[in-house]
Amino acid sequence: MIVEELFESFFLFLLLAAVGDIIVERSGVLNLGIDGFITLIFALCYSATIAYGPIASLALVLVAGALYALLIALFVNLLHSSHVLTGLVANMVFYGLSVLIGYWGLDLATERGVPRTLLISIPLDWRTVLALSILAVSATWVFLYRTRIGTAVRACGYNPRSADYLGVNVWRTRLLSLVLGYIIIALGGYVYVLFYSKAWTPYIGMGYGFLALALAISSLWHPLLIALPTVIFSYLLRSLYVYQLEYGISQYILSMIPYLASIIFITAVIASPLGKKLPIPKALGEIYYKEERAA
Amino acid sequence: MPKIAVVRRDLPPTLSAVVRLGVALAGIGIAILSISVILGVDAWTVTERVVGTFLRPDMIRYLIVFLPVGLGLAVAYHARLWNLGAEGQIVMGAVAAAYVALFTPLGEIRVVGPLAALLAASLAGALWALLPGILRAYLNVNEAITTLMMNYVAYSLCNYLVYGPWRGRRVYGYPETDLIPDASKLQWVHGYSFSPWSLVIAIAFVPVIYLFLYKTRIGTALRGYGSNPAAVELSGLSGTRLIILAFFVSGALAGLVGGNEILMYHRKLVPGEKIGAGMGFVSIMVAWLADLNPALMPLSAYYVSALHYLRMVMQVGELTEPVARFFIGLVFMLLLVSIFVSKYKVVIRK
Amino acid sequence: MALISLVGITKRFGSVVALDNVSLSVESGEILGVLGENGSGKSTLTKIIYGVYVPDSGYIELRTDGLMRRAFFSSPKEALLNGIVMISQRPQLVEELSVLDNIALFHGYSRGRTRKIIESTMSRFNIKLNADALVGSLSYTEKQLVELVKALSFKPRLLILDEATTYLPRDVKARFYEALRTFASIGGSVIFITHKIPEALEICDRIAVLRRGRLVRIFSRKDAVSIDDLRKAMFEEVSPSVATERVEEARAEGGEVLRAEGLVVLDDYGKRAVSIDELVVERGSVHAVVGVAGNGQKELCEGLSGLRKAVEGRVVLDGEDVTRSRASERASKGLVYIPEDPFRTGVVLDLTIMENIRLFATDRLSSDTVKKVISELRISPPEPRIKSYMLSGGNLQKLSLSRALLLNPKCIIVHNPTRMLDEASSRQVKLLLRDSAHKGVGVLLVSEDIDEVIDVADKISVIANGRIVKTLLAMHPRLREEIEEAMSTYA
Repeated sequence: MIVEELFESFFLFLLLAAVGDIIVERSGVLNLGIDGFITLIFALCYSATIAYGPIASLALVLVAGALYALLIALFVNLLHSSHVLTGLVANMVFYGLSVLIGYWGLDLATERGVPRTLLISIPLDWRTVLALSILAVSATWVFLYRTRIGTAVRACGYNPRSADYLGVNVWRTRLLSLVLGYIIIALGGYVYVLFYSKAWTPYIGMGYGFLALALAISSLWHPLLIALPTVIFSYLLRSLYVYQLEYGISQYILSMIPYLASIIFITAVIASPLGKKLPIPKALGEIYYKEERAA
Repeated sequence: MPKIAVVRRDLPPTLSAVVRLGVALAGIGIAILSISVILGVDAWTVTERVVGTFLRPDMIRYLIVFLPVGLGLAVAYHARLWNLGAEGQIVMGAVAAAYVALFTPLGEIRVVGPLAALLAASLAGALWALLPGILRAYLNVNEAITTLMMNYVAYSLCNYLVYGPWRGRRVYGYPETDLIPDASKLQWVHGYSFSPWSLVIAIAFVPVIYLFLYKTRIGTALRGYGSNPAAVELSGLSGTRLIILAFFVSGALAGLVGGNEILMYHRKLVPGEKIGAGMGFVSIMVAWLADLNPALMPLSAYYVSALHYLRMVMQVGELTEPVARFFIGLVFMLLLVSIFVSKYKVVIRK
Repeated sequence: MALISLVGITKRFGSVVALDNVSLSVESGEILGVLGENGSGKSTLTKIIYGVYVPDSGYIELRTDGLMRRAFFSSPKEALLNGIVMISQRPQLVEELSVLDNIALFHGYSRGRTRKIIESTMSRFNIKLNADALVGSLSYTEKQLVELVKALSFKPRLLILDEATTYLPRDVKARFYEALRTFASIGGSVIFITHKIPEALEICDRIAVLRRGRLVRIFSRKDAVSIDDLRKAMFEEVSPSVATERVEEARAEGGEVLRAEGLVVLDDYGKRAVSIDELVVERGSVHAVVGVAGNGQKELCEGLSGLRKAVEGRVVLDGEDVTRSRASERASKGLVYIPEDPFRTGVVLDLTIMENIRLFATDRLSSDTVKKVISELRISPPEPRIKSYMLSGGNLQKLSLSRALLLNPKCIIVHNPTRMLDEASSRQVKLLLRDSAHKGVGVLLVSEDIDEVIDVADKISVIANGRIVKTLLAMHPRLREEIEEAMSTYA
């Protein structure tokens, strides 16, 4: 059944990651650090589940999201660091940390004589996935377009200086966006580990963050547009193995495809008339500095 | 309730460099302490090792990578063009150099061979950067994402070649190509793994890039383009051409380094991840640590090369690589703090 | 009783002293004018009150619970919390959001509640607006009215207007003044900042005059102040009243250097901002296009210079069709555009003065050229190696103008060239433009300010809603009145 094929756990993970990223970037924060975060969460989730069970692991993962957001906010807000550098450095740190955490989990599993693969009895069927997806997307839309805070978030992404003059606390709003966004991304990571891969290998997760970024950009940071590209991508990515087996195409050529496709996708969207009509967060990546010698 | 305001500081460049240097040194101190505490190694031993890496010529092998790539990236970053694709550009340079060395008759000719290989490498790197460059120049596509994606494509392409059509005939089970002919190899300084020519070329680029950026009209335009593209356009210089130039130059330098890696270090083509090895990303920090100033780049490249070499020297069993990544990441975080300290000050009032 | 007092405020930007030990106070129910030339420090003063800048020394006292207490604002939000609202010359609104959303953000209320508040404010102060319109689709005049409604809906204690009405058409200005008087009559205080003496005289109860960062004198309406009194305080000398002496009649060498035909340019929202059948600039003459702000001036300049694509029509430079050429090509062919806002488009702030000049100059740059440019335009501080962001707005504008000297232009397009400049520099720039014309360059002066235009132009066109509605020659009788009428009619 096609519907079963499309709406499964990997898709849910990607969707949550992309939606979380949208929330972050709408406030004007360029979110390159998402890749290191996802890598970290995969390891953290895995090891925490081995050590403490799935419920505690969920709580831990969400807290990790909030803390990571706090760290990024510290650099981007207070320290006025370039968003790009902050993201890249965070990635470096947390790629490394993730491996340490992951191995801790693996060792723990061996110690306890527990299988290294997670065995979760709750199935995630397509109806649940679909329902959760719709919930995530519509909740984000409502948040961004129908709440006061959401409007403030968008204002910061369009024009932080004007937002400041309107009395919006840009730092606080960006912090809130970061926390909210990363909690959702963390949730996505949880879904991936517990329902999709059920295992961990070093550095698993690397690259997915950037894919989520690409998805967010190609939907022009609009929650209602994100579903389609995500469905297509997740299906393509999962089908790669099939193509390799069935048609004998080298796995290396196949692994190029998601990235090339992302580039094509983003280009197509930005060059299209839609790209010119929808207001995008112009201030993305702008280091917001208040005191300028300006008239 | 005390109120915090962040105010810009206007330090002269020398003082700014000193502040950063101070924090950089503090960073090393903290790294040493944490390594010794967490891994239970005596702090003095760690300090010896760390200081050792700063003084041993071995780390020049990395200087040859970080300096040119950092310089090239500085050119792009001055124009606020986020070329994050140095990794991929290095890999493609390596692929091109390997091709010339292994599969063309030039590979067997002394001097000409390596020169041709390096030229091909630069060109490959430049072209690889050109695609995202063109997308940005003409369609305003966010270059941070496209260059990042191109890194992965480069890895995959390189791996395809190494595991596939270019797989070495004489090496079984190990994913790599044959060794390049002797004529193409760049000879090492006795006892170390780098070539004097490579070092000379790397250092030669410093004044070249400096003069370009600070003494020519186009270089000045590049530096202005980042913050005010309109002002540059209105002065008669085409923005799209500047963007293309910036990507070309940074790609070429990264490609050159990639080619050098093959001719000087690996002497064969290996999987993409091993060629780039994250050095493309680290070069980004090298560029920023030097405040994008070519004159300071040798210093920042030196500092980072030593740290990078430290990674190799740290012996912690099978966890070396991720631990090293973690720590160097932390040091870079400190560098970000240092950049803040040198540019801003915090004003607290009651 | 005083509502707010500033005591000994000093503010420096690097080596530039913007405010030097300024003290003044505002009473409840009073409209205090702050009069001064551009660069005198008036904007800096208000930004300190509004929490945008931090003073280097001095303090602010605010009447709280009946007593004067020290107050320190580190952000506009804090100033707002204390009942202070500012409206500046440029609307500070988020263009992508609606009027309602902007004001709702400002108050922190829900949309429904905000709508009610807006409606009651509008009826109280007799202003009409569509709350659901996207701010980006509004004209400059409408945006300023939004700012006024937004400010008044807040029921502030102190309202600061920083040149907010200076470029509005007369009838809208009158509505603003009426609202301000109503506001003052119910106990609100107003700080009214301007550089135009007639404005200050019309609306203010007292007028504080600033000159080069210092408070010179405070005049009161009761004292029957004259224009000359104020002028003397502002400039140290009484200059001839409005017109600048023209250098000499520019000899129109004849021949067109710039022609626009059937030009249609869209604004950022896809609306037609410019729709001109024919616009011609002749060699050796100055042609001005004047109109109320936001009637297509910016889009006209950008369309002619190439920064913005025209959807219809042709642009011909010295006989060559440049419609398809981008801005850099047109610039290198001799069409030099000096935009109005040096902070955003004219000059690269992060580069030094010398580097900006290097950017502008097509020929090999020598240090003599740099010195010549700096001295000819009297850029201060005359230090080529300082970063441009240290310069005041006026000096930045002058630096931006140096492009006209360095690029060997055939045609110069300038937009609001003297807006940021003090009277002496204004005169200098006007002389420069006439001088260029005299040398055979065609000058197109696009402006929002009649005064700027009348002294300099040989021919004046009025632009309204993107169309040229009237064209007059400089020697036309009752020139000023006819232009004002045209501007007001169509605004």
